Amino acid sequence: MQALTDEERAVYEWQMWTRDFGEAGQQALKNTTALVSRVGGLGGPVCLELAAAGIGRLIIAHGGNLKPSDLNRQILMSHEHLGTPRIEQAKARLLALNPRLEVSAVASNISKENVDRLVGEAGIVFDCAPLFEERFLLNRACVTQRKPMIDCAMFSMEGQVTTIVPGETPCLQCIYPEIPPGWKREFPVFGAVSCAAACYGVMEGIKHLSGMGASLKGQMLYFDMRNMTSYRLPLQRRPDCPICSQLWKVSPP
Amino acid sequence: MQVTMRYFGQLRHLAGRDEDTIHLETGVTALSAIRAAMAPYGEAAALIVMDASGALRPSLMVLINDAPIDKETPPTLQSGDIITLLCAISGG
Ligand SMILES: [Zn+2]
Repeated sequence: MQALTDEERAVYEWQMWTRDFGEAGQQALKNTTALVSRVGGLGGPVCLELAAAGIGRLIIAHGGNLKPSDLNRQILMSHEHLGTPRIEQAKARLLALNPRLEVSAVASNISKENVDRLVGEAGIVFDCAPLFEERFLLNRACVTQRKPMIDCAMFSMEGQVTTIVPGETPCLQCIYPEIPPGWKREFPVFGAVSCAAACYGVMEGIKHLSGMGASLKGQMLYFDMRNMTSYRLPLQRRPDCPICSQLWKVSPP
Repeated sequence: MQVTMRYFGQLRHLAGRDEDTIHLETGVTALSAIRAAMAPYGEAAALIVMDASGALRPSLMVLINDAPIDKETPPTLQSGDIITLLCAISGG
C-alpha cells in the first residue's frame, strides 16, 4: 500500500481530523480505483467529490457530446465546451482540482463489451447511469466479481442511495427485478438534487473503504427535497434473483 | 374509512401532486386502495403500478406507515393508514 506524501497530508488534513478516518482512511482512498459510470448530473459530482477527497484512481465512462440541456446539473462541464465530448471536459476538470489523481477516461458508456474489464480494474463502483440496462450490466458484473457498488439515483426533487455488497446485501435486481415500465430517458431534475444524491453516495463509498460510520448496506435512503423528508428502507434479497441468488447458496446470510 | 396515498418518482410527476386522501369501505386491502387511487391518473400510472394481471409490480416499493409490505399478500388497511408508493428511479 502506498503511503501518503507530505503534500497529501497537507491537502487532506481537515478530513483526516474526522473521527475514525485519519491517515489510515486517507491511505485507503489513495490506494483505491473507483469506476464511475457516466459523468453527468450524478456521476459528475461523484467524481468531483472523490477527486477532492483523494481517491487514487478514477475510471470514468461516458459517451457523447455536451448539450445545452446537460448544463443545469453536469457540473464538470462548461458552457464554452458545448458540442464537445463530455469525457474530455470531465477529465480536465478533475485533474485541475487534483493533479495527483490518475484518470482513465473511456469515451463510451458501460456496455456488454467493456463492463467486465472495467469492473475488474476497480475496487469500488459508483452506478450513476440513466439507463436501467446499463445499471443492470454493472450490477451483474459487480455481483460476479464481488465488487461493492454504490447505487445513486434521482428524479425531480427526490433521490436515493444504497450500498450493495455482493454476498452481504440484496443486489440491484433484487430491488428492481425488471426495467420499470413507463420509465422515460428524460425526466425532471434539479442539479442540486442530483448533486445531493451524489454526495450521499460518495460518503457511502468513503465509509465503505475506510470502515468508518454506519453504512446503507441492505438499506435504501430515499429523500424528498420538495418536503424535506427522508426514508431509510430495509431492502430484501430475492431468493430467486437471477443475478445474486447463487452467491447466497455459497455463503448464506 | 380514510387513508392517505403518498406518491414518489414518476407517479408523483404523473399525478401532479404529492398525495391523495382516499375514502374506502372498511376491510379493503392495500391492492384495492392503490387501484382506486390510480383510477384518475389513467393508463400511464396504472402501468407503473400494476402488471397485466392486476398484481403490484416488482419494481414498485410499497410502504404502509413507513414499513415495507409483502406485495404478494397486500394487507388489509386501517383507517388513517399512510400508503407510500416509491417508483424505481435512475441517474443521468
Ligand atoms: Zn439479487
